[in-house]
Amino acid sequence: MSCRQLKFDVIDFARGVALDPSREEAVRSHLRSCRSCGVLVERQRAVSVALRRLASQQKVPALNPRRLNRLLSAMGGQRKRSRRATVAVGLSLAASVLIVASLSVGLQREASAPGSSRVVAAALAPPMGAETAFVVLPGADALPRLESGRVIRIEIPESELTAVGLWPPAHAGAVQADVLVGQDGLARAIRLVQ
Amino acid sequence: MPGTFPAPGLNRDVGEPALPDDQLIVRIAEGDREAFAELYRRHHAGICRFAAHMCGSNAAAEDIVHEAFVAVMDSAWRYRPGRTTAKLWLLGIARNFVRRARAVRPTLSLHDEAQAGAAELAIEVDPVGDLDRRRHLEALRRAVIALPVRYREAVVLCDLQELSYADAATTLGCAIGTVRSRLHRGRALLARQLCDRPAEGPCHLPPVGMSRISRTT
Repeated sequence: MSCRQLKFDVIDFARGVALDPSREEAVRSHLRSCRSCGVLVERQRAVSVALRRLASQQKVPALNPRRLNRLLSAMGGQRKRSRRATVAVGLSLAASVLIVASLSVGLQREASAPGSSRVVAAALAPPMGAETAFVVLPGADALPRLESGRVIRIEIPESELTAVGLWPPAHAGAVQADVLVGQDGLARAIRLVQ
Repeated sequence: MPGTFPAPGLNRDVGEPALPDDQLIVRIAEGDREAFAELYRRHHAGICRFAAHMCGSNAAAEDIVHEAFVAVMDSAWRYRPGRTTAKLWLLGIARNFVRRARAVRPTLSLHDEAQAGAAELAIEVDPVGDLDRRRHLEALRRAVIALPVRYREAVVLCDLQELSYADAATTLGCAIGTVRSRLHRGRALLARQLCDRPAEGPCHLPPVGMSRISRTT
């Protein structure tokens, strides 16, 4: 067997853990032929000896009757407090559920309002005369609400336009478009400059 | 009477067998203070030793034991006999507080404690003045405390508390294979920490002969 296969058994062997006889024989036979595992066992035995010594030398503070008395006197109050705490936790959970529910209802209404993103986009970048209406980019509805933003004019290959939901003019090559970038730096909508 | 220290024995008649831990915890859930005192007496030392090995500080260990037993008052009703033992349940609670204490004071060490003039190091002074041995022990203690917490837990539970892999796995809430792997890694780090740093002096591990490996056979 390889060192890798016997890795844990070799450590157990070094720790003095009882292995089943066949595993132990496999480890012993491996150790006879593998120098690096032999060194590992030697070192791990030394670690075991040192750890045993450390465990035996560890003194723990004696039981302190005053600490126990403090715990005992807290015991009655603790039980009452814990019941009160349970009620408080329950109430705050209920309040949180209500808040989350009302927020999500509000968000759903906002999201279902027709063209809500378009309305915001239009307010942020009113048409200058030669532009089409803004089209919301795919997935932009899932982004945080658009609070503010700026319009960046770019040149975009016509082949890319269909991917964002715009129909390019025939054989235009590259066209100019306005991209509405939100306060968070994420693109929300695009419109063509005709 | 509130605030008094009930006498050991849980008011049992002489010769009556001690209540098992499971029953003590059931009684604690019902508010039995004597059962609580008995459980505290039985497990204080073990939990304190675990916490001291994990934190490297006896003062911090005592605080952790205190917090763990406060948690016992609160959660005794959650204890399910048969799913685990009281000892492992308590170790699991203490472990949570150790992790929390480390998050608050991540650099706890016996050195800090000594510098702060708190309780003395838990190393017994060698009567013949064997400084080397003390130095090696101190190096080992520092190496254990310096281990990443998941490896240290495995080393402390399996090697210093001498739990079986199965019990350590129950305490840590992971698989036995995970415990073995963490222990293996932790011990390898310890060996490296103690032996492979020539700048920090000679190897701190005690010499162990190869006699038990029958190389010649």
